[in-house]
Amino acid sequence: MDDLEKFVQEKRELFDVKIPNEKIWENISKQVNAHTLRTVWYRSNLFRSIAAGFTLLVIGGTLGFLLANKKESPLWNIANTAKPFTDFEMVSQKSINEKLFQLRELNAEESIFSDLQQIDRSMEELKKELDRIPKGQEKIILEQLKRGYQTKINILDKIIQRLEPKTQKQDEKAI
Amino acid sequence: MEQPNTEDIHSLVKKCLQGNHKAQYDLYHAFSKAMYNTCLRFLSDSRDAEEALQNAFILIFKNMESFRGDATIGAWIKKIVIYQCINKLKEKTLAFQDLNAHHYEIPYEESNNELQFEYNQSMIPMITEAVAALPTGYKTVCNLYLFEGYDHEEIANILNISVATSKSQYSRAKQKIRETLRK
Repeated sequence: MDDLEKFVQEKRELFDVKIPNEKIWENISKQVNAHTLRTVWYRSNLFRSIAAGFTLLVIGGTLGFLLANKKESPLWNIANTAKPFTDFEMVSQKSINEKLFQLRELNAEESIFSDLQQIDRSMEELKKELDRIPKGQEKIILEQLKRGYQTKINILDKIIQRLEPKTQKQDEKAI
Repeated sequence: MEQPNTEDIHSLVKKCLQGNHKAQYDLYHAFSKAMYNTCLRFLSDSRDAEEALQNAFILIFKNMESFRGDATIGAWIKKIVIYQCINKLKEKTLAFQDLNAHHYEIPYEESNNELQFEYNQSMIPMITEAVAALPTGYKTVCNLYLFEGYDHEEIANILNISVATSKSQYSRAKQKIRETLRK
């Protein structure tokens, strides 16, 4: 390193004396906020679509199956099915809690959490169905609840994947 | 604005990702002065420098989620700003290869020790002017190496030139700066 290089390195900050015009920020702000609004809208709508699809899938699938099998004699015993389900539920809930924590870490919008609560409410409805349906039909509900947990985990994975920083794009010229 | 510490920057980046307007403003103000001066050194025109700075920060905020944290946010921002400047220079049909061809044979570090100075703070404006007066090719390499801290291999990649060319351009640039300071 010669004298010039040493000097520039030591006094580097003193070379930055000019102040940028405040108008630059105004222009940046306008363009960036228009982009942010579009992104938030897109994310929010994407999530609502997935959530709505999920709710329809679980409730519609379950009710359809119950109606189709209404006249058949019950073949399953809740005692045989509830235990594995309880274990499954515990493991799934743990995984969901971890993913929810991850979502919080990623600063996901509050609307995502409220939408997730809607799914929870749908699943609670299904659980209430357990008391109402004819004896022996429990397994159908439990299977649907299982599928519900799996779908919820998949949804959370998709949201996390979307919110996580993406691989730097080669394009965009500068990046 | 006082330069924020690493923790503040980390928190600002997180908030920017949430679309927090105040955080975007703070992040911009933490780096805008240094980056504007970088743009000025590369482009030597305040209007071009403002445009490059503006485009770079729009790109930064729109692509904030692609910042993975493997470099500091400052280095990431600087890289984007510099690429904006290089693109702007290329728009002005600067042909680095052509400029290089004439000086390719100049050996690295030749004549660098011929003119020695006692550098002091009062010489900063003179050095700035001497750099600004360099031909664009020399100036670009000189800015990348001397002011932005890139090595010749990185410069070769950025400008799509050979390492030897980067070294010879830089050597020539320093020689010219010293000649200007001597006058």
